[in-house]
Amino acid sequence: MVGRESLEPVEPEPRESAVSAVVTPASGAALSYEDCYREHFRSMVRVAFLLIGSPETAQDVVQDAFVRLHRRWASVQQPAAYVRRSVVNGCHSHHRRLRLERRRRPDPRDLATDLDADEITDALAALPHRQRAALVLRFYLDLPDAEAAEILGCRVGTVGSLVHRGLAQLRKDIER
Amino acid sequence: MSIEDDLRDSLQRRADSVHPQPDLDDVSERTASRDRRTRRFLTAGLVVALIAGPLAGFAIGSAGDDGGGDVATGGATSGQEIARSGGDAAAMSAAPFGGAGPLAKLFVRTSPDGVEIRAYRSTPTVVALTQPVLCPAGASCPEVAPECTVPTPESMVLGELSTDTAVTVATSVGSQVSGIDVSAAGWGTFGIEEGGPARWVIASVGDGVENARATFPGGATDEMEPIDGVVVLASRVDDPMAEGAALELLGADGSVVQRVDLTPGGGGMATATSSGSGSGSSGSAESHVTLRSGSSSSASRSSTDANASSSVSSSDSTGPGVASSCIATPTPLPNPVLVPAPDQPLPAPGEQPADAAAARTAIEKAFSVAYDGGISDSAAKIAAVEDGEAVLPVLEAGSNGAFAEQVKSASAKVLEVVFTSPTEAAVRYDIVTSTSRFNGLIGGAVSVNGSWKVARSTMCKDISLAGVSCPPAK
Repeated sequence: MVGRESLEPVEPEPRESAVSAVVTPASGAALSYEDCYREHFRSMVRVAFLLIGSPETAQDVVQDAFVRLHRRWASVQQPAAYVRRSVVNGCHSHHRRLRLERRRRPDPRDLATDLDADEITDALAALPHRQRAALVLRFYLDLPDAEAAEILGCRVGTVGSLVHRGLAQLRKDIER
Repeated sequence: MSIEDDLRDSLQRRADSVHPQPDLDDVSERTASRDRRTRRFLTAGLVVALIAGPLAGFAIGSAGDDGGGDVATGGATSGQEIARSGGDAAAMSAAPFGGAGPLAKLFVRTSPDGVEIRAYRSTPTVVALTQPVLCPAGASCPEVAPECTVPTPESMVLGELSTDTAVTVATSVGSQVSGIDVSAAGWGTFGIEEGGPARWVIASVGDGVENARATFPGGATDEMEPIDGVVVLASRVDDPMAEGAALELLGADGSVVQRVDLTPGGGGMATATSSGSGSGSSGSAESHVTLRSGSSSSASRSSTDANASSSVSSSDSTGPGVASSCIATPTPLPNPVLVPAPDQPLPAPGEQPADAAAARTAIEKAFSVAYDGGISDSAAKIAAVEDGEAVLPVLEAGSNGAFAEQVKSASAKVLEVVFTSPTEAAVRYDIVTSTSRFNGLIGGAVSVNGSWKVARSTMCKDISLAGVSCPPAK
């Protein structure tokens, strides 16, 4: 596992000014923290849910991510990117805590207990965190590899590799 | 269907199965909780800076002392000592609150039931806690009237208390008083989680007080003769949740001349409860402060705090420079989280300046410069604020104070300007700091000799959130 994953999210773009940090560059319209929260909360919880498997824990991780965003609101220029990375890191930290607690790999069933899980869900849950995150970012959020690389803290090429290996493992597990 | 399509469908189905509900209140609570933890951490650091450093210096100095003269360490000036504890004189260097004077040992004593007490006096060189510190963060923060500013305290008293299981630090910042009187008194409890709770009382008293006695919950008492106007009393208590203590000041004939009930709201004192440090009922330590007007006090924090709390009670007597009404107003500590925009309209427009558009641009620039904590150009700051020369030192104090990070990271954005006269305007604006957003604040701008500036009252109101206050307007 790459250590950088567990670090605090890094502001992806250089800071221009504190005031501009509250402006959405794309639209030019003022985006308050509250607006940002309402806009991204649900999708972030779903991403976290896909990575963790528990809706309650997912919501907890996302709330913490928004707390971190709030503390850095004045200096973060791309709040959505910041939160995405923070959520992925939070999910990774959650898995790491689980591993430390259980001294073993997370039980795939833990990720599928809340819903009627299917084969793919089971197989996805069994993947290492980074592979799972890469698949979720690619196939759920439809993020380009460059953005996924930013979130995962790795090179763009590594994202492709993670996706490739993740899909290969999924195929293998499903065929089994 | 490919594995990719299956995966995409599966992820979508699974994600759609959860319906999270946004909960901004929860975010606010978490943010406040995290800020409390940060404050506790900083407080612990302050305690270390205040106590551990000086004590280490004192220990080093004492090791080489021949038992007689002054011991000065860390560049402290000798001769500032005040020693009444068996001739063990020492003057120590300390740097509390960003540059205080020397820390002088007052006394060492032990309570009847074994609580060890060490008292020191320091002399802060910057404005200490003032009433505006307790003002809530946000637009509802009242204007700080000149008579509500608190003069820099003459000195700060530190009491280090320890049992065999816990240690805490009590502080009191009080003006010197004469006669049989008390200028500042605080009480608190420590050692709760450690299983050996003890209650302390610290007070600055007048020179007419011959003896001071504290009666604690359960009936235990501790008393001492004031030393340099300071008493620190303590006792172990069985019930740490029993509130308060009673402080009695005794005259030369041994009679009780004055009794102060130290409770969160007792003794007929107006109470201003401050929060921001967690629950007092569940923490390992708590502390309370009673102020005499004209003095400024701070409560202690235990170095082992898990959850500390503090409350402030103010007596209704008048003192130098402070109106009792100023400190009788309930003023919770700032809650530096999401501050909703107040639903307050700006005043109706009045006569407009000749070039309103240019005036608005000038106002926006003035707010931008005045509130930009990253700008160190003093001349620009002075030019951007009404009475800038008088306000600049306050801004600098804020930049170096307890909320330096917030001040230095601050920026303002003007949202709305309404000209109420050709030389006055009401302004709605946001302030963003590294930890807080204050939305929709309302302030003013004035035109001075043709230049639009942030109104002095507006800047003083906002900078007061950083724990510093402007001097009275000329």
